Amino acid sequence: MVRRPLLARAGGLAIGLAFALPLAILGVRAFADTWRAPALVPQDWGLRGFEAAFGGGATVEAFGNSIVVALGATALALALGWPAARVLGERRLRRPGVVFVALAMPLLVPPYATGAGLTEWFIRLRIIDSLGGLVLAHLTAVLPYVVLVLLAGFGTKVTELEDMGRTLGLSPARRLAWVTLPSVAPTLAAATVLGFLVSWSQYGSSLAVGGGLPMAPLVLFPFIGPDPQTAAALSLLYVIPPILALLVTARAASSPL
Amino acid sequence: MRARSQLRTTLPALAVLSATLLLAACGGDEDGSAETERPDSFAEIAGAAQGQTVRWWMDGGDDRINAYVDDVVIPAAREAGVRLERVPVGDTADAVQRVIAQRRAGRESGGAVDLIWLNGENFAAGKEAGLWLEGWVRDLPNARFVDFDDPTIVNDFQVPVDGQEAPWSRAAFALAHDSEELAEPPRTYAALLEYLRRNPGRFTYPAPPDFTGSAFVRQVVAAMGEDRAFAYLRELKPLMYRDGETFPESADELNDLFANGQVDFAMSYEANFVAAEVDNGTFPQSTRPFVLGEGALVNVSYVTIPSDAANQAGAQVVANLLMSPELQAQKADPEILGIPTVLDVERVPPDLRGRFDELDESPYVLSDFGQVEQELPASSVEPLEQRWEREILRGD
Repeated sequence: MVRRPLLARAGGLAIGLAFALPLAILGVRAFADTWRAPALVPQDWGLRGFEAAFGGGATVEAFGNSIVVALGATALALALGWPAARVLGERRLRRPGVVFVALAMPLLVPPYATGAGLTEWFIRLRIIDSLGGLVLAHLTAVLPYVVLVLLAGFGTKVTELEDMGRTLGLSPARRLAWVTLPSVAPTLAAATVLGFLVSWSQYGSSLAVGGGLPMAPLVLFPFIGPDPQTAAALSLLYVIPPILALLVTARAASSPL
Repeated sequence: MRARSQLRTTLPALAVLSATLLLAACGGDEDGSAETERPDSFAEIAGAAQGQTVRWWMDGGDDRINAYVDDVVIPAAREAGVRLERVPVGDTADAVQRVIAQRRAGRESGGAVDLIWLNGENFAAGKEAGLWLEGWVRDLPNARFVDFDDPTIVNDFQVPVDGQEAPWSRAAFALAHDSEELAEPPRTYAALLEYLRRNPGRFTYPAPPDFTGSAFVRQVVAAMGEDRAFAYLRELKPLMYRDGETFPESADELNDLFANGQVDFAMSYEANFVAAEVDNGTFPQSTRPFVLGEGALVNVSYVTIPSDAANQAGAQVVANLLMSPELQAQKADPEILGIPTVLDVERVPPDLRGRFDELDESPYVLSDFGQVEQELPASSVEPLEQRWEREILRGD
């Protein structure tokens, strides 16, 4: 009886460390102007990494663009994914497997192929090189994740609650606000965070259809390898929006509407 | 220059190549895209360029080159009435991919890639597919400072440039040693072998097809011929880091091994890499560059304009600026970048030539790379890498 909480605490600590340590090392690396083995701590501290990260001025714009696109793609994916997730979650289809495969297709096909196809078609449709085009390109990757997470929230339990609401005379809008949303809130929050993360980290499709519009991963990627300090500095900034998204949605999920 | 990360692996280049072959196979409509009414004087081009926004796709991983473009080239372009935007990519094959996609979608103008800093293999693949604007380079006013009889300038990996790309930077293969640990490095191939017999394990090079590793193999091949070079590399292998059982995957990994004191030498195709790595704190300040053998493998890198680029006039103005004595002198300045100029300094008017003569000496930048070893043809790079894998890596 005594050992279990201890073990659990130790396990929690280990897991916590496993998450925190890489970030902590990133934090040290970002401020290490000189850090050569065998020294355990950097020989020189400084801000060269951040200066290089913000050198061109496109970095701020890139983060702004990425946030706008991630919010847009996630919102669109939730709107489009909601009906699909309902149908799948309530097992109303006779052959859900086919739909699942079709939905997951953008995840199964190599991103390289998806990117090349998107570029070509977006050029034909003249929606290339715009934030709107980027939202649609990210949607192809975000939508499957959102649907797959969201469908877990629907099922007979939710439909029964909604039926109760209907018999009590709730209007469709109130039913949505008072019954459906609160009961799927945790999965909705998870789908939102995941959608945001998937869009936030899109490198290939951002490059393929962005036509040089600055986006966060595009700014970060070239520094990985050649310049660890600048890469670390950018990575520290790179994790902020996803962490914020996580905190905001976690709070939304726990507090009933 | 900077070709290192422009070609991290040959895979993207292969993809480009296969895509271009596909293009060549299914589309015969390559003509008529670029030939429409070319302005006949540079003044007209400069006039048409006013207010254009040029998107220059280039490797984005070197903060000193980024700073040179942001602080020197962009303001100079602004003065010429052109807005220049740097599009950082991890691999130039991505930019070429974009041009190919535009071609596949049937668009012949309005392309998003105005200017690309690219390597020889990507240039050759794109030239084969007819992706580049033709015959514009020699009409640039600053082209008069370039010696187009110089075989290293008129050919890119022995593929004739044919006025489809403008030279802007020069690369030379150099090694580095820490002068505090090792005052006098082995400067010949025989001396290196001798050094490793006395100090086994203190040398390695990235495994081809890594760009730097592949260049090292070519440097040895250029110096002693292919068969002797492979015999030499075989002799070297058991004396190398970890008995030659494993090789670093990239120049970055080799740099780390050197910086951490696990090997005695680093190497790069970037003439100024010691300055860059000392500047960003990776290498100790006592690091010095040196040339192995009689001379360094050299290579000129270029910018090209896709034939469907939306802002061709602006791109030509920028390419012209990149070749200007002022900008080339700043690029050659060790304080700024320390990259050798592509200009023939003899052709530069005396009042501007001074800027090249007055350049500060830097311990981190070589001023003499010995006799020039020319690059091998682009088509022979891959067979060489395969032979290396067969005979050196697997060792049969």
